Amino acid sequence: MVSIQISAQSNQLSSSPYSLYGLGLSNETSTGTINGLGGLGLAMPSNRFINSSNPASFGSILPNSFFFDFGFKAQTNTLSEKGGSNSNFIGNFSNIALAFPVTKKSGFGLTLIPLTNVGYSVSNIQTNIEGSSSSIFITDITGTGGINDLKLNYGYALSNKLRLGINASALFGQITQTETDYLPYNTFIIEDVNNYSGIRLGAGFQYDVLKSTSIGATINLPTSLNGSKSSTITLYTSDSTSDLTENTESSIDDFKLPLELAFGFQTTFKNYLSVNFDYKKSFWDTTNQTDQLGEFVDQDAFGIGLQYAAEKKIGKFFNNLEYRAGFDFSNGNLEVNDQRIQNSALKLGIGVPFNNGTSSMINIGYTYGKKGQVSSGLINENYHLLTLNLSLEGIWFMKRKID
Amino acid sequence: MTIKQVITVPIFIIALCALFISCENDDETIPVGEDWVNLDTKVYFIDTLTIKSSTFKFDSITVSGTSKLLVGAYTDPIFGLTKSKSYVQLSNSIYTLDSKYTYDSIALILNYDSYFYNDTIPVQTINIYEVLDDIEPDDDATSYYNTTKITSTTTPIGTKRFLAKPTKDDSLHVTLSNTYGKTLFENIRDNKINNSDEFLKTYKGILIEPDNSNTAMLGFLKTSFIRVYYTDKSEVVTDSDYIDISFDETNSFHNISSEIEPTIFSSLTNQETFLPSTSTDNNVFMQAGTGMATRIDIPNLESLYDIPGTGIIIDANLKFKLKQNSATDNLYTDDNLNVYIIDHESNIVSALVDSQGSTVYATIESENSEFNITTYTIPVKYFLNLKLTDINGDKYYLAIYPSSFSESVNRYIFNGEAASKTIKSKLELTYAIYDK
Repeated sequence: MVSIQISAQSNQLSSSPYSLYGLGLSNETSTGTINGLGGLGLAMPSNRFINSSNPASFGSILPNSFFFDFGFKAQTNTLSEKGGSNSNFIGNFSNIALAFPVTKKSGFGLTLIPLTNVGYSVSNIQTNIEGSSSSIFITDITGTGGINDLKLNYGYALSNKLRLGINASALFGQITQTETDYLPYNTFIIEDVNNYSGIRLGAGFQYDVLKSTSIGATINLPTSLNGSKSSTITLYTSDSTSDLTENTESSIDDFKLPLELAFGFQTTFKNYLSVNFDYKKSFWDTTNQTDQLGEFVDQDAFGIGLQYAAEKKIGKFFNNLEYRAGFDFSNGNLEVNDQRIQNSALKLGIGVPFNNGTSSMINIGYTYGKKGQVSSGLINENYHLLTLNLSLEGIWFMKRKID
Repeated sequence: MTIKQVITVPIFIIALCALFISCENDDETIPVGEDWVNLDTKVYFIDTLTIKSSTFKFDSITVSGTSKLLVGAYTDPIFGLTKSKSYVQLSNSIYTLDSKYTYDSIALILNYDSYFYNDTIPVQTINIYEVLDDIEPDDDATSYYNTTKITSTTTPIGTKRFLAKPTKDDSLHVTLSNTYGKTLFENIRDNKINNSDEFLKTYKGILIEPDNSNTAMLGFLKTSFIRVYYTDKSEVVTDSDYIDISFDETNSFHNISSEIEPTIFSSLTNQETFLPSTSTDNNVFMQAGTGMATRIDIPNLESLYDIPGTGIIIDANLKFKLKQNSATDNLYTDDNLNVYIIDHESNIVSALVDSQGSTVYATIESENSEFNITTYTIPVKYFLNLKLTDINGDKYYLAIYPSSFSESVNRYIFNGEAASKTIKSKLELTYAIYDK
């Protein structure tokens, strides 16, 4: 599973200049139905799909169930700043997850999902060659990679109403920045491969306040990712032969991930309309980190989601679909020129059940989002994100009713 | 204007604008996010690094294995008299001749190589002498040098005054003395000489020497030979034939000297003596054959490291220009010059190569016919990196000298580093700092 993800990471998973900072853009996609909803779904159980947002949800996996989740995404970005704009498109695999019950009261899950995505391409930067009046060189910079989160979740149902969970994440990944300088007679390539790795621990609970209303919360402890850098410098002469290659290994600053606290609420009206609300605070201030672009600051993220699922009727396709909508807002964790890079996103989703007696479902989510704004000298980025999650449930150890 | 028009006209205009803007954006890629990238890389073009050029003279240059033998002399106002004479060992293969034959005549046939230098119009004179010692390298040497000398007779066995036509004629015919020829013929015919050893004992070789007049330097091929004509007078009709005695290619070489009047080069008594361009009117010199070369010293290369950050030499070229009007049709220059890395004692370390290991040369980069400026360039990136990294780097210099160094006499005058701005020699360097 790890190898699949690593090969997937070699492709560009994001395409945003905002992924220049830190370890890249925080991954926005999730597992199961959550992609079509706003928020994180912290109060949602894992009895119909894998909810890897809260480890406590794994205490609700029904005996004999076995869940898989495969996610794919496609995204198109339009970037604009004063004087110009351009668009790009990327598509990729976005997660793989499985979950199964351990006992009647506990469940276990393993999720491999990006923590961050890096994908940027800044081209045609012109710089003067110092000491010459007219010569310039042109630079293209691209960044790829990201940090993976291999997350183990364990949830335990303490009672019918209260579930507790813990999670541990192995965070690892590689961020590659390639700078290509086109000089008058030579091409100079600097490839920096930054490797990061670390462990992060977290915990959560879910409590069913009423039959139709739950709350949940999670904590992710702060951690530090060890970084190392390997640089390769290659000089190509005009006839494209490699003229000189140098490799250097160096250590780079560890990257600190902050304490994160999140709270979620979910309630269902009349069995078919459910509402969830989530709030997450990331305490970036205390990491005291700055980036060449700006400063990391405490981040607040809100999300609200609505889901409508009519009463199931066999043979009526549209009746059996689940309709979702949501809205996310985050004030961003980076401050550039006293301006925060805010992110807002409108989400729509649809769930198509398999109708085979399981909770298996194809979840399709659409997000229209926006980052930054042109007026304050930032880059305004609009993006359309399409996600497809195959959320599959296998029933184990169950005798067939008719043999 | 109807309400419909009020609505449709602005929409139409907006749509048109949108179309225009989007087309414009397609045409050029605008770097979005450029200001966000903190570009550490800085590139410098540096042409102010100090270079010091000087003239020196190799003690000797090896002349074994040349493809031609140089014979001639020319006089240059700066380089003085340059003269080359050739020693030739003979290689005979015929030792049986019928006693009915009698000697007729003997001639040295010199086959022209295409090479010549200086003016071929004046009549020139060469003398042929007999060599008195074995033609072999000096006692402590394995090859012949441009300085190797071998004793010869003082009376010539042949003299030729001629107009050199190296491109028109195939060969030059030099009649040798009949005394020499007859003895040689009869020694073979009468079986006084029966094999090569006996032949070389008596005939050690010949010396072909020009006089000192200012004429052309000529190249002759080692396929040249001595032809001995003989006749058979016993027949009613005289039958004539000849034997050819070829040049021994290994043991034939030229000795090139410059007989310098008390000139600027008088001080160049050994190859560790250097004549700075600043003391020779901002000129440096080189001449093939005599071993004169230009040395380039880059004394302050390490000052590159004064630029803060980790850097890399992207490109480096040494550029130098021929002294204006110093090259003429007669005293011509070549398009390529050899470049070697030498140590502080002017011993050759290696040929100059590029990073791929291919030998590089000084080549003509540009020729400005209006101002008669010819610029040569040498890619020296490899050399600079070697200087910076090799433990002996600070003792490495470049030696530039003409191609065909051991078998031509072309001479060059270049402008030094202190010449005026447009013609001085300089080092042009592109240097990049990529890590602060």
